[in-house]
Amino acid sequence: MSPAKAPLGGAMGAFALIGILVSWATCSSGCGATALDRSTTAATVAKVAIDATAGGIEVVCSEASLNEAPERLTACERAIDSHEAMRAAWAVWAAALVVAHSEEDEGAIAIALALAAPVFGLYESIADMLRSLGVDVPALPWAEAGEPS
Amino acid sequence: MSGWAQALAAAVDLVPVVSAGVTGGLSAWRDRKKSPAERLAEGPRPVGAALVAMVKERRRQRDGAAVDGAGV
Repeated sequence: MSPAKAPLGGAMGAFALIGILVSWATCSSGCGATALDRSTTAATVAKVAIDATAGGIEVVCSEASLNEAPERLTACERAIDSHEAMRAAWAVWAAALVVAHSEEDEGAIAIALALAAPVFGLYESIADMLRSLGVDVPALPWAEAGEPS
Repeated sequence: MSGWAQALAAAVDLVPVVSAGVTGGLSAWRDRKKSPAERLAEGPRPVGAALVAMVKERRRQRDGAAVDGAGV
């Protein structure tokens, strides 16, 4: 394995670990609850995954990594932009969940559940970029948590 | 570099990733009894500002080189 590949190989294990953590945390505190409770749990766990993707981007797009593989620059730019968009989408989702919990209105709950989709979509776009660089990022095990039951 | 040295270097690189996963997971577990507003009060962290600045600077240099190469 070349020096450039070593961090990527290690990142595969780290993302797998995060995937396990995500599924464990989701099921331990959210299984059997209402759709709104599951979506709230998914949002708290999504925060962990988004933090971890920031760490993954910092590893894959580090200065040393870009020195060895300058062709990664475009993919890194896209990943950083998508990560920022994902943080913004998460903030809207979280705000809608808080409103839905306090109002307990069916319309507010439906909106809050629907707002999970953009976050999942942006996560997948970052995961695809990291996969194109040789990092095996797991698919979201909790994507269905945002859907109404 | 030997295999062990590469593995060690990879492990050191991954400290921030694993740290985020572990501390975030523990935090989510600890906060599970809190209200939704409390659990969702703090958003995810951004990508490091130094890395973002470095990528933007490289992009500026790359675009500048492309313009120079085109003779503009």
